[in-house]
Amino acid sequence: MTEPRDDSFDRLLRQTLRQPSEAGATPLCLDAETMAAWLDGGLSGPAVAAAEAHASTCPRCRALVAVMARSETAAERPLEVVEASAFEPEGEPASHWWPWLVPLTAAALIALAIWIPRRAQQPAQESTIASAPRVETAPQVVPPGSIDERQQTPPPEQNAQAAAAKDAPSARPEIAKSDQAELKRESASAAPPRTPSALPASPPSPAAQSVPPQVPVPPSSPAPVTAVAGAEPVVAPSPAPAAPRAFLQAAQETVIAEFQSTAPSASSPPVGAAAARGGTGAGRGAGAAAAGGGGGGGRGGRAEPTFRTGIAPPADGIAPPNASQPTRWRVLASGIVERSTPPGAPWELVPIGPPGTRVTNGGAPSPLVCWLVGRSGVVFLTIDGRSFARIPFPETVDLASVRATSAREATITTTDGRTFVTTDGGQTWSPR
Amino acid sequence: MSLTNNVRIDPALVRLLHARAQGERWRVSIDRLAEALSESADRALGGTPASTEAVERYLTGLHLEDLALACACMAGDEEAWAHVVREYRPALYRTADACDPGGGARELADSLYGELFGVTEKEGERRSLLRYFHGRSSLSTWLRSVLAQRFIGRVRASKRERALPDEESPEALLAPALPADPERERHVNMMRAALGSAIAALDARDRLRLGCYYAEDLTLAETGRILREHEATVSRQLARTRHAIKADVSRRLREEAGLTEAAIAECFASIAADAGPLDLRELVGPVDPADQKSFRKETAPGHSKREQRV
Repeated sequence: MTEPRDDSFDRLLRQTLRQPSEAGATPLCLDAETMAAWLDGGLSGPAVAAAEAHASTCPRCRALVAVMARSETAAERPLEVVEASAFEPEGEPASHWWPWLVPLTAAALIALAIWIPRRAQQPAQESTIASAPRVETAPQVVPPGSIDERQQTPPPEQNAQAAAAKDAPSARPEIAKSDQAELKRESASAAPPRTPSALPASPPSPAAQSVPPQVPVPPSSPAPVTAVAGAEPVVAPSPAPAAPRAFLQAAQETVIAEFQSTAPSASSPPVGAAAARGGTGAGRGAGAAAAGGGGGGGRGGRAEPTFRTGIAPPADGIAPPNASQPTRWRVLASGIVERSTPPGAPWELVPIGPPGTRVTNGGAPSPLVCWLVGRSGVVFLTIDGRSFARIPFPETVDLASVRATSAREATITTTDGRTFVTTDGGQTWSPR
Repeated sequence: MSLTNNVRIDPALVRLLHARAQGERWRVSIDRLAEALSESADRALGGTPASTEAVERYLTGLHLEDLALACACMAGDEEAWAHVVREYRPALYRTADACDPGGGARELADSLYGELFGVTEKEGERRSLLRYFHGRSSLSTWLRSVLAQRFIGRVRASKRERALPDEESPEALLAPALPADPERERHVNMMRAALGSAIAALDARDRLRLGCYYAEDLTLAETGRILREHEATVSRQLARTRHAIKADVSRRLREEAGLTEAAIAECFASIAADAGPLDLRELVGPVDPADQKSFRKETAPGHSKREQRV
């Protein structure tokens, strides 16, 4: 067969196999549990054969299989796992490391042999220097030999990687995702805390992480965050002194929502009625702990979950964002809202309301406009990128996500799946 | 002794599985886990008589920790629920984005959490979607599967509800104005009929592999993950299947349609000249939100030409 015939035969195969079918699910169709068990190897041999036989003839189940296959890589990407192959150029086998292994090991041993005797002669505080993150410009004050110091001190190979990364910043955007995760972990393990005094002396329990305290962290003392997959390592200057315990506590805080204004706005944003309303909403307290699940991703574009460490300036020192530059927002598990303008700049704390306010998600249709939603019907809106006003919401239900197209138009989804729409900046809401 | 329709579970085994599931971590009692295990075994093995060894083999192969976690969430354990939210929501969102890069599927993910927590009640009892999780897969895969099912359901529903295209729209112009050639049209029709029969005659596994690759536009690696084959194996099997289909089509044209070798060659040549309606759809871009091909080509960096070729 000639190549053109092969191509045309392939095309004919596609046409034949893609015969549209709009039939609904049948009793024979694979349910979610069976589908998941199939893909996880939890079905017996005959059950697998039956599943394959059905999916081979059912367009619906075949499409379901396809969605599962496509999403597998994205969904199960490990958060902080370094794959050596990720460093490899595409198409090259990972085994070409081996010829370098012996000389590299020898060089490392020699360096170690030189370093250990010298280190023994150094004063104790050298360990503090060793633990200083590569991104730091300010020295850290860490009690020598403390547990926290040991936790913070990266191993020598991490320091070497950090130095290499520092020497080649231009190569960073091309770093594979898993490498970025590693760099992130490195950065997180080395980054200093921002709020040594405001945080408890011991790491929180898992429950404390996900169900934030009723009394939030003061606005002037946000915590650094960590651990979301696919993150880009972002280096932030850190003028604050180190506080290892505080860092360990804060490093476990998670970004629960991150979103970015999609299009820079050259003109002033539309002024919603919300601007005139003050943020008078008293904190209604957190709702059921389960509502924490209602948070969603930003709708202002495909959120690229990142985590960054950085120092937030005092709340009263917030500079107005630049309307011509996109702004990145994030909501931490503690309910703290931060902003980065332009994306990549250090995160700045944005005060959003009275203590106890719980924000879980948001959406930013433009650099100066941002909608935030949270538990118990909490809705906030800013039209200047700085000050948020509380917007009345018709119900005290926990809110999961918001999709906004302007300061006037927004669609809010509740955790029980209902949708409310406003077209007048939150003056009126209509269920949809 | 736990007893279900056909499955009996030894209490000692339940205790062992409870320890393995780390039930204490989520405050799941042995009795509650035993109940969940019984339901799971009943569902998987209940239709057939199962030996004690088969039951034990099945139960020990379950994702026990996830099952205990699901039990705790169903019981309203806040710490367990917070763990689910913290650990699984990012993956669920990534799944949603993989389904619909425009962010549309995230609403499904959000609403899914409401069902997982059990916002609906029946006879005063909270009804969580997690009651359908039986531990045969990881909780992560199960959540992905539920979300994917919702997404597919929504896409197919939107297909059914879509209005007819405007007369001037590209969708309404699917039929290209080809020069009238009744002989070629006859050849194409014969080819399609023979091809349909040949595909229907394939083994289920070959047909599924073919469908995943050609109809769903999965890569070789993705297809291989479903069928648990290496992508090189998928490539070889696809080549073999195509060769077999061609041979079968030729045979059918020869034996059933009575065509000569020259006429068969003309049939193959006719499909080479026939663009077909789907090609025009591909040319004008995705007219169907469910058409995953276009966005995957844009977004998947690993979707290389090399990988596409078989």
